Amino acid sequence: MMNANKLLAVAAAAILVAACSGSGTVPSGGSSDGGGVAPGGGGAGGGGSGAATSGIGGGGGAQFIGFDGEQPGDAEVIRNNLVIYFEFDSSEILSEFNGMLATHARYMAVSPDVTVRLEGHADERGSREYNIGLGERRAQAVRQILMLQGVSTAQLSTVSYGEERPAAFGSDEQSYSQNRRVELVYR
Amino acid sequence: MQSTWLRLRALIVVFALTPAAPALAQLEVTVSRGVERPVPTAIVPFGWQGNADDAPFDVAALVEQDLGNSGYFDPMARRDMVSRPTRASDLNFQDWRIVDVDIVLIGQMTQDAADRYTISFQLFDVTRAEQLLGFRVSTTSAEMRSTSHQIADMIYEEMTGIPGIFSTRIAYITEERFSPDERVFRLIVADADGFNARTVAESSQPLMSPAFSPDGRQIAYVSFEEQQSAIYVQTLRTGSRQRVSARVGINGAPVFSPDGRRLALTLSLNDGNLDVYTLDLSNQVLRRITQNSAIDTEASWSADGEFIYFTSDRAGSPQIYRVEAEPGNRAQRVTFEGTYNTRVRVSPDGGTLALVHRNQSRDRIALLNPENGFLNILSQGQLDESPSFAPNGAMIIYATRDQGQGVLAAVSTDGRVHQRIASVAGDVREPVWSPYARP
Amino acid sequence: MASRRTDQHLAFALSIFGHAAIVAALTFSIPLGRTRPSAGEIVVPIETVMINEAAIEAEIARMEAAEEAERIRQAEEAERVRQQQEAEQRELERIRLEREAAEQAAELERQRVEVEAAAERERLLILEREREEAQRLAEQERLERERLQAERIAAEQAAEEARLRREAEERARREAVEAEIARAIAAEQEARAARDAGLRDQWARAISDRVALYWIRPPNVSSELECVLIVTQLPNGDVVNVTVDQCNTNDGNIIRSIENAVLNASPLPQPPRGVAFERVVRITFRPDD
Repeated sequence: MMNANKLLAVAAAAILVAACSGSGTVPSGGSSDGGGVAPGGGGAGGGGSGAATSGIGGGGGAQFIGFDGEQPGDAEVIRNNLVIYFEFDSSEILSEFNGMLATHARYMAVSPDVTVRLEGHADERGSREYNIGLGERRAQAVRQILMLQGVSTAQLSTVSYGEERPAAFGSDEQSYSQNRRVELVYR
Repeated sequence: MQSTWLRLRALIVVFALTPAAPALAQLEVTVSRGVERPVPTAIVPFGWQGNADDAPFDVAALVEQDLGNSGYFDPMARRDMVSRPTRASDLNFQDWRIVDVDIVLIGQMTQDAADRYTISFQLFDVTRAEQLLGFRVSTTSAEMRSTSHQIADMIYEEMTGIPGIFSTRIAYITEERFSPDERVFRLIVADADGFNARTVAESSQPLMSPAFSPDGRQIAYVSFEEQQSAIYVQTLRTGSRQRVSARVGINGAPVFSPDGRRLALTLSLNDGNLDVYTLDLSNQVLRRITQNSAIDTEASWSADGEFIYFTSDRAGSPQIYRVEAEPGNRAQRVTFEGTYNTRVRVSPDGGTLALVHRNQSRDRIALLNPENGFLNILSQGQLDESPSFAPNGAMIIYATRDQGQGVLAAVSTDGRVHQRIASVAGDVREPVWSPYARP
Repeated sequence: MASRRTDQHLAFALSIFGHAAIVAALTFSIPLGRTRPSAGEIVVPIETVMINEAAIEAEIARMEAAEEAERIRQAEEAERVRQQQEAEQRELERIRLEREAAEQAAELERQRVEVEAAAERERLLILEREREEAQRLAEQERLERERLQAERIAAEQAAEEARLRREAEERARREAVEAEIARAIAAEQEARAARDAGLRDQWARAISDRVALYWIRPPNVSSELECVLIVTQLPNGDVVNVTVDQCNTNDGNIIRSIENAVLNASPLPQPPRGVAFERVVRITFRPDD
């Protein structure tokens, strides 16, 4: 876990570097980095927001309200990039997702009413409860990155489904790689 | 003349010694091995006396199936039987000796009332021409299966010295997928042979990790029905249930302590780190058993309730550890063979551990003797999971894959007997074996 | 000599007198002492002694009379001693004369005896010489006898030794032969035993293999199981009786399984040719795992 923390730190540094260099898909513009002004301190107070309604809450088809963004391209990026994928048995966030996560962080930071649920998943290999742990670890990794970029704790919740809700149903590496993921579900 | 005398004497000496030469007296023989083959058994169709032409249920057939599935009996096909006695007076042991049958079960069913039957049966040892069991039992058509399982249990115990498990039950989870977003998860309880499957919980969200209480009357499980994991304890007879843990983060891997008073479970709480806790079901007192930044989960109690075995990846890859079931103790690593060992269950006698062992990227069920570290791989699948001991310790039920679908299988702990267990439709997973049935 | 005897008489008289005086003193002093009680001593008054003047005077008179009588007695005694001494003197003279006469007679007798003794000595000497000669001759004869005897014994010994030697040689030879035979027998015996043991082992193994084939081992058999069955068979190998000798389990199904293993293995394999049939076989079930 120490390793994971280190990895997180490295990953965070990598994100900042990526952001500064202005490379990748991240649109440049007024960043809200550093300060991390958590908008709604009293926003959604209870940390135990886990018990929600018993609605069906479909996994992928998140729908959310449009926003008057300062970043013209952000909405598009966010709409099309809601899943972060992982290596086998790993919760390290690959650098290719840094830009996308920065965009989400930027959006959330300026939209204090938005909450995002981070849903961690694993592939079917390994025991089910251990995979719940792996999914949780992945969701937590994403949560850490977002918080480092100024997203308020209150805007984020996590859940791990382990291998119980796969995105692909095959028993091959292609399916597995699609299943090792964290989904960002806007509400 | 003198030398002749000497020669004669020599001859006398030789003759005198000859009878004394085999001074070993009786012959000593040591038998250091036997055969592990099933007992040749004849389950003769039971006689029938009732209103209908045929008996309402073929008791002998189910007894035969149970005994055959156990791997310890080799029931003879009915068509090979030279005689079909239903009463002891009709039984001719020689008929069975010549076909090398060791034990014979005979019996009759008589109808006493519209739905009231008496079944009587006798088990005989052919070698010794002697009765081993003889009982009479009253039953109904609805109870025919369980009565048959009970008869099989009695025969199994008589011959093996181990209580039978044919009257026990199993629980498992199924998932039916109608479309990628339309799924039904079910918690099923069935007889040990897979029959009498009943849905005890159903949800569009995942159900996980069923666990029987030690008295077999309750079942704990994880449900995501509220979009977050929560642990429920449900009373099987009434269907009523109680949510015992819905804390923030993960609520997972519940298992009852041997005395049934506590639940070991996995929580992540606020920091997202999974640790093993115990929850006193009478007063809701929660105690943290492990404290480690790694994933600690999948608790299993030792037979005496003193220890908790669990999965942890604190050393990098998931391995099995053991810790005293009280807060503040150091865990000791139990598995060292291989890079991946998870989902441990302790055998009823506490002597062995069943777990999922990854070997050459195949997940298989293995038995570990924690005393000497000897690991015995029992299953042959690619993605076998969730081993659970039968209460007599003789069999392990687990989930395996067949054509992309999860199915149930069982293997004897000596690795000799493999069998498939019938289940309801869908992707089947996480089977657990109940304790012995309570009357 | 006479004077010494007189002295003796005097001393005797004095002695008598002294003793008498002591006796008298004791006689009178003791009663006096008795009347004087010592201080603190309880005197039991038994009889009061009455003393009067008349008694005392009578006593004094009596004592004076006694003293006069003593003086007369002493004078008479002195006269008697003197007469006795004169008689003794006369007796001594008579004895001296007698002794001188005897001495003269003795001298004559002595001279006569000496002559007789010399003659006797001469006679004895002659006798002694004759005796010595006879002895010498006897000794000579005895030596000759002994010499002859020794020669005979030596001859006999030589003969006995020769016989013993011969016998020893014979015994040794016989023992050697017997040892040779015993060795041969032992070797034959050993070879036979080895052959028998090998064959017996073979037979035991054959029985073990057959029984093992019929022992369906129940799953509750522990690796510590050790059960001994006593199996009685007929010469054709048919098992006629099986009893449990000792067994460290009480599990009925296990005991039944091993008994049935033997019963079902019947008939047991026959012994190899040359191995004696054993009616009783001890079969130990001891799993080696």
